[in-house]
Amino acid sequence: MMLLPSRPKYRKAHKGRIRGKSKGGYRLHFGAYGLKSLDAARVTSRQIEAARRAMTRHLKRSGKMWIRIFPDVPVSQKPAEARQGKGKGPVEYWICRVKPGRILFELDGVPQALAARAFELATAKLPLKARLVKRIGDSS
Amino acid sequence: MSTSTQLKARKRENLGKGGARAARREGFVPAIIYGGKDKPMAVSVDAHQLALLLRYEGFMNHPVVLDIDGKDHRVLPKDVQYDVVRDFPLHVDFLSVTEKSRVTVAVPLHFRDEDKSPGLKSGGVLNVIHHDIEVTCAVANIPEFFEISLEGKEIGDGIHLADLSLPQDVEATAQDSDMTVATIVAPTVAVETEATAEEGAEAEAEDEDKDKEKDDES
Repeated sequence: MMLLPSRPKYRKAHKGRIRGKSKGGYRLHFGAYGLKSLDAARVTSRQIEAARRAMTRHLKRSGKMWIRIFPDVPVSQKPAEARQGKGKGPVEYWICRVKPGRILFELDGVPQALAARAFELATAKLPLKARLVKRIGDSS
Repeated sequence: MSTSTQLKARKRENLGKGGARAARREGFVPAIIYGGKDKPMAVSVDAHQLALLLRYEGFMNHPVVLDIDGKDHRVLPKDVQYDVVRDFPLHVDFLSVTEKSRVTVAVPLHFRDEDKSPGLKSGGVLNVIHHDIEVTCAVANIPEFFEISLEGKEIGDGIHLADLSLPQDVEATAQDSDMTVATIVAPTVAVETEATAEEGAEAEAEDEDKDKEKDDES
């Protein structure tokens, strides 16, 4: 199921820019392995869901997964062939602004090789480069 | 009991980000030594040696002997700052200690007997809530790690701080002995409920209705 906020405070948001590196969420908090973003990107809720599905299918429901990003920025679009003006268009989808260094997903309870492949499949669904990070002292 | 490791260091004369960057360019990592009666001392440690030590989980609870220009300083690593993206060490904090000083350190937890846990055998996942336990003890008595047996643990069982047998002279800083350290959970993957999505859609529809009303009024 796609992620989206349950009770947004404001209906529409400015486009914004993604500058600098991640100021939080750049360390592993839950699992033994994590997928760390190396780029700045706008990740949509569809992309997060596609990445989650790719990982779940590869892991065959073993292990435990955490999603560390949440799409809380609405993106609006004007309908096709609409004339300019008449206000901002309706919200079409939700995105998460990801900065370099951000942990996107975490995994635990699976061997490193399996986690690495699952993250590789997940990265293919995302508009950014990412790498695997693991907890210090994990020798598996 | 922890053994100390030797690490080469040198005094850092140029302070601030200029000096720190210069140290990094020369293959060192800027660091600071504080604690005790002496004034804090800015040093830089060998980056390669430090990177090798940081590979092991026991770095933060092992005393280190810093060889600063031929003079030994016994210290305990207190904090390591890493680069956010590439995870290389940027700066290290060292606490000056003696054998008798009492310190607060985070000791890693190791789980054993995973093959003797019916919960894990039936596909459950060990969900570790605390990867380390903060304890207060003398520097000479810092435990390497704590071991917890998972024997007989079923899905839904929890492992609490009280299950841990601490050595003498080692006290956990957490007062709550019921603190959950880990649980064995069913292998579920985070799934957003349909309700959340529906709620979101409803809230949006309500907002739009309100806006339309406002427009009509104006």
